[in-house]
Amino acid sequence: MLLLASLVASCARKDSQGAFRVLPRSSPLGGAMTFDLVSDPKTFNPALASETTSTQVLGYLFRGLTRVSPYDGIVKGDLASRWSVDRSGRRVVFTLRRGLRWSDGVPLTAADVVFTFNRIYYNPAVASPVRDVLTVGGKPFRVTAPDPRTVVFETARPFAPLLEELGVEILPAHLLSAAVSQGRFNTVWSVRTPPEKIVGDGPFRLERYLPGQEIVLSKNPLYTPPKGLSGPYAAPLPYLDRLTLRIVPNQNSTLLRFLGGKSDLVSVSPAQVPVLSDKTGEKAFRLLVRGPSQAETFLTFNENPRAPVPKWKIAWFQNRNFRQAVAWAIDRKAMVDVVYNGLGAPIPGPVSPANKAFFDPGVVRYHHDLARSRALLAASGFRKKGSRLYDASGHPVVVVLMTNTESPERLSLAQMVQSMLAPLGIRVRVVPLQFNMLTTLVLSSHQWEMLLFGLTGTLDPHGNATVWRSTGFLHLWNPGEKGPSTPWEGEVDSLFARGETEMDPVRRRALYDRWQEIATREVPLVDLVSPDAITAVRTTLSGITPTPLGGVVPHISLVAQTGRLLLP
Amino acid sequence: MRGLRSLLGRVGVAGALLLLLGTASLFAEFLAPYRYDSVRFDLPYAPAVWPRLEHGRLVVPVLRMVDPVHRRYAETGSVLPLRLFCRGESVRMWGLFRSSRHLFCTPAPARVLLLGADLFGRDLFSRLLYGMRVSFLLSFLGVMISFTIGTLVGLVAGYAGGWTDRILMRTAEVVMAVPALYLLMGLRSIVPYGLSGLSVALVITGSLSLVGWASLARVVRGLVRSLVSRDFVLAAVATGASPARIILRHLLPNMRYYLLVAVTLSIPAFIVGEAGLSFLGLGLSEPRPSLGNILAEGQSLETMESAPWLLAAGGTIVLLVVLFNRLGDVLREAEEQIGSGKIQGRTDKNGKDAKSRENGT
Repeated sequence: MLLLASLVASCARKDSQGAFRVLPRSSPLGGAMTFDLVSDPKTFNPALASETTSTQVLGYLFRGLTRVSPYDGIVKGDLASRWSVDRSGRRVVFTLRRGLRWSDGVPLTAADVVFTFNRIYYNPAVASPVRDVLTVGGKPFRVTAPDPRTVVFETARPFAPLLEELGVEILPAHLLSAAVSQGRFNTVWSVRTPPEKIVGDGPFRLERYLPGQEIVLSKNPLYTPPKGLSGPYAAPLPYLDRLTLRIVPNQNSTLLRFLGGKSDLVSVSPAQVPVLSDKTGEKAFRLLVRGPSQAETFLTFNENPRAPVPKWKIAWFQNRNFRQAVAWAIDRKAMVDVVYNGLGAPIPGPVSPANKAFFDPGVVRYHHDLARSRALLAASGFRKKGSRLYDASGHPVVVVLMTNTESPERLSLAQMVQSMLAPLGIRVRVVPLQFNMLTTLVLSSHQWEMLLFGLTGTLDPHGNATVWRSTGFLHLWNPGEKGPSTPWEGEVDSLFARGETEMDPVRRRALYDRWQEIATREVPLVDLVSPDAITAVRTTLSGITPTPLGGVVPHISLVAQTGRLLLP
Repeated sequence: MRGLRSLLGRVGVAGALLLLLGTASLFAEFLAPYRYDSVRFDLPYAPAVWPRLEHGRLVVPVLRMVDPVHRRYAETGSVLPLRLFCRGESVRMWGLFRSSRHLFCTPAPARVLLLGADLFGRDLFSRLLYGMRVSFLLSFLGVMISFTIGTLVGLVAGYAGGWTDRILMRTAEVVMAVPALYLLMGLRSIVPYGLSGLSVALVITGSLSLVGWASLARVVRGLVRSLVSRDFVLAAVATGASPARIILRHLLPNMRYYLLVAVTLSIPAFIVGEAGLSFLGLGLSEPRPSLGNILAEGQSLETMESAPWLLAAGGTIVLLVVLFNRLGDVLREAEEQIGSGKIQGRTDKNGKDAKSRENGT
């Protein structure tokens, strides 16, 4: 008993000693920030980067002509200080900021912009993932530089999302033109390139990269911040001297390292909030809840008549009543409560409500209503015998629902879908697969029936064209179509074609409103729920606030370290 | 009463407990108050709800989630009666006939949760009963297959000797050298995805036993080698008995205790094997419960804090493994007693055998 008492006492003492303390620093300038990555970057070449770790790291090293404000989605200048669009909407003239320099001291001029577009992004020999979004109607932009601070973009047709798409990184001509002419651009600036060889124009530059261990970025003294960006302290941006990105094996270890005081910022899943919420004082951090994230999680159906799936199943999936019946059968509130600890919201449609510029409040909002589901199924000749549903020709309604194993939340959602469709008599078998295998089955062999999947959202609805156009690369429910197979797909195709070239914001918005109404009425994608994006941030950092459209860091150069963390 | 005591004497407390657990899981449909896939999305990770005595009758309180973030629950104040031998959820007993009788149940808004609930509000106690049945069934089946193969190969190799022996034993060594986990993962990946959970489980058991026979075959072969040079076998050979008769009448009976002990000791390996595969997501698929996939849910930092009762699946695995190992010990002790105490009887029998053969010649 005595032993137990002393054990409890020692634990309690350890707890009070375990509290972190924050001491103020004499100056808020020149600090450091540490956070974790769960994988290594694959390349340091911004024109070739396609996965999120590389793009995140390169986002600190490079920048483009424009940037999108994370507060309201408005396009602002980055390298460009101003621009003008002529009346035809086909010609945009950019003026670069004064005194721009690469991190090796060479001036950054309009010639670099012209080189980046004409020799890299539009070079068929370069495996760049962004080439598709930098064309309109299949034609590249014509990029010219009348003088060192002026760049002219001319498009074949008016292209509404042009300004947003011109946030792509600009690369230095003086270092890379030789590699491009010799045809070895696809191998330059790999992860094995010495750090000092990688020259950028962003707020930081690469100082050290140890594969599997860490990436250290240091302040770029030659950085010229975008026009209008200013922080609370009168000092050159960025405030921080150093960013350290540690590479760790998985999400669990990022959380443990954060609780051990070894990192300053960690993104948190809703299920981890109960572990963290009562430790904010002791471990000196804040929990920032940003509201539902932009990512879209949905159920979709294989409507592809060429797929190796029984014909009668394809017929169910092509039936709008069947899809709507599924949409009405989902209890999204229960999904949020069970899978996301109540920290999330139903997704009303393909555009997030946070995206106020484009969200259409008039979309069909599905909620849990089994009576409607039953009526829709009965109207299409489905009959329930006993506990099972049969279609008009007597086939039992049994579906395989696939999802990827990497995300435990998706697996839980799939299991909930399984039990939510059971009262209708629909038997669902959940099959979790590895991501790569799943994409092969869905996009190449089309051997799937129902799919629970997610896609990251884009601010401009034009980014959804790859999914919603009948010829789009990610037109999941019926990929590889030559043209629209249903009238509504035809209308969506024409809406996207007009939205691309419509320059008047009001008319453009009306086009995408119509698309959202069709999307939620026809429900080829049954939208489910979205978790709140939550980040835990150490109280030693300032300049970190949640933004509705971006992350918690409005601009990396405004982050400052105001306090010093004292570990017990 | 005497029957029970003699049974206890023979299999020990461990055996009796295993018998009890086995019977309980066999009648899971009746003993479990809920189906294994009966969800309550308003009760994720709800804590245990026990029936209590109020005004002379057993009642179950109704829970309500007050804080979805921390999954905190409060009693609404209303209670519903707990009934015995009641009509509850309809289940298919052993997959054969419909029944809705349960040992105990309670009407809908209330839910008896003897061990708490999982993420989908499913009763952990019910799922453990069903999961234990899967463990028992799969391990018995697996042991049967691996023992049939292992004993046959061992007997043939040991009795035949020479090249047959060498080929069979080198094959066994190759099988033993294959890393089992990777083999199972490979086998699992070639099973088609549309298969039901049970067929996947059967495939896994099959693959586990195809790995498990080799070590047994080696031991059996060693035993046979030592037995074939014994007098009673030589005598049988001299009388012209066929190899099949020698193996079945003279060799097998002399190894039966060893085999019995080996069986009880290898069942835990199958239980742990199945649990490990399900834990890795390669075994039984949800919503079918197995001890492994229940435990897998409890592995993360969050569930260990908010729903530590999911670790009960781990406790059950440990309990079953300990009990089977103990049963093996009891059986071995019993064999040693027979070996020292009743040795007279055995030689008698052999002597008689030899005499009758002499008469025959």
